Amino acid sequence: MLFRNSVAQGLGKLYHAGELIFRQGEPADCCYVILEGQVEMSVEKDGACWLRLETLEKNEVFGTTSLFGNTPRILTARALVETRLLTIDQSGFLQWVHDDPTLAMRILLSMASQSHRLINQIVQLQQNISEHDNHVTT
Amino acid sequence: MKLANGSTVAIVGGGPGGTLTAIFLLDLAQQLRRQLTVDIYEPKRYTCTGPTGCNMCGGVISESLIQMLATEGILLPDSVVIDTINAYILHTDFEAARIDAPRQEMRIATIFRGAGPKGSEHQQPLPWQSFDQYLLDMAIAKGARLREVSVSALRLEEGFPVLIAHDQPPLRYDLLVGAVGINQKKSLQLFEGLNFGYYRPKTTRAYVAELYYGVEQVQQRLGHAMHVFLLNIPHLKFAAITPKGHYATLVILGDQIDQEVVDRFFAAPEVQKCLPEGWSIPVKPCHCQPSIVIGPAKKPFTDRIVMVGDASVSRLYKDGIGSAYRMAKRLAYTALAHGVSGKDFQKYYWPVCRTLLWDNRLGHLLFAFDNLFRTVPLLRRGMMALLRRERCQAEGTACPLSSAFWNTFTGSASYWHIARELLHPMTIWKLLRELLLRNKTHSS
Repeated sequence: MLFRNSVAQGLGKLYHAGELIFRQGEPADCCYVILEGQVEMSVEKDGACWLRLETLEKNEVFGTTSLFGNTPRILTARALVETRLLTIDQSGFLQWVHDDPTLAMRILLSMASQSHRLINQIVQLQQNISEHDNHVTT
Repeated sequence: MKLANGSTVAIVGGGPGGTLTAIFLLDLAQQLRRQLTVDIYEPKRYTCTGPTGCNMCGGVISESLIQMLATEGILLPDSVVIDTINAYILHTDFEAARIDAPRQEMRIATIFRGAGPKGSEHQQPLPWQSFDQYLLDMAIAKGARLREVSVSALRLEEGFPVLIAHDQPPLRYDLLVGAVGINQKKSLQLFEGLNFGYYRPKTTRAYVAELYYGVEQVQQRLGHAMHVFLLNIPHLKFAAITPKGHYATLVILGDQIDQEVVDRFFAAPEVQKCLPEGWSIPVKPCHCQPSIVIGPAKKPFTDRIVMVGDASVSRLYKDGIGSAYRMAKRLAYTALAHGVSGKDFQKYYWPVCRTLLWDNRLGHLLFAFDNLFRTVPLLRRGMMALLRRERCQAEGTACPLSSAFWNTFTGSASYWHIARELLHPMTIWKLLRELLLRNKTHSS
């Protein structure tokens, strides 16, 4: 007998390239950890991708904003390549954080770094607009 | 009495309780910009197959622990995850009921604690990795030092713990953590000998065996489901067969599990259905009869000494690794944020153990309740009918009994949570209705 690693599909759930994970406006009851692959976060307008915000990689957590309130999804998440995700349930997560507040640390760090990246993007965008306006005026 | 910059910590035991304590201590120390020296004393080699490299348990990582570890950034690689589970099948003497994972997602992992079952060593390298070794490697990568030696003596000097290991001069530490497995009798004796009032927890015997099926037979007979058996066999409280790649892990829990109980289990027709066709029970499979914790330890801490994991308290029958995780996390936080005195452990660490302890008391009651279903056929039929009805219901409808059973088998929720689900008026009403229906059908 020759052994092989028989795990046909590891932990989590498999999403194919281009598959929708969640859409903005949908109700939220979980967040996700990327076990493998890449996820694109975007803003949609009239059912189509309007603005690509960022690409997330393995080990990153997303969909966290809706964990701390009953707000719907503010972004759309889609698998860029074949991607495996682990779902973290909102109800379980809040109970664990209640028992051990330090568990929220990594989620907070991830949210902080995400908001840092988005602020940088806004600043960059504002700079581009100002440069464009100056160019038009001159 | 705090762990300051340059403090030293000795952890006796390199199982999950010890390695997770090291990981959380080193992570938190880094965040607080403190330099710690953490030594893990573990003579066992997890790279060995069979009992030599194994910490002897069923090897199932619960749904809640998988999620908590992922939240911490600890993702189990495919080489450690031997198989995944997305359903439980409850077998009784007249039918079987399937309970699916709430999200139809693979969130339960089966693992090998050591390198693999006895007899698998003919293939090198093996395509899988030990769970305990993976955590140990992670602790080492974070800066812990592994001392592959047995601890031969422990003593106290001027209030500081001193550790004597084979071929090593006595070493004084600022904190001594007892992450000793409940089957490590000699190491437990060393901690009891420190005379601070510690006494090991109450235990009972379990039976664990790794049965070679071959990967095709595992998939055909078991699929991605854990098979739980509700059998009316004296002394037996819980029995399950879990898929694990090429193997199926049999776990039997209860009081005084001996060969007679094991033989009666294998002879049961509902168990035979889960065994490969024409398969005869191996004469000597890789098996063990480990002690499992069923009660708390006495006084598991004092100044600069603290016990974690099985050596302190563990969740009754289920999710021992999850209990070790919770305690390790709180212990690291207590030692770095508050201090390492007995008073600090009492105030900040003990509440986690106490919660487990109270929950276990409820667990004992629930297992006694489970005995009723095991012995009264009408109750068993009503329960199975309700599980079947819940399975036929539309998605999104509340399935309290299925949910309670799912949480009991997976060890994902506290016994308190399970009791609330089971004793909910709606669950009781639904069960009573099934019983009345069964009774009517039976009498007509």
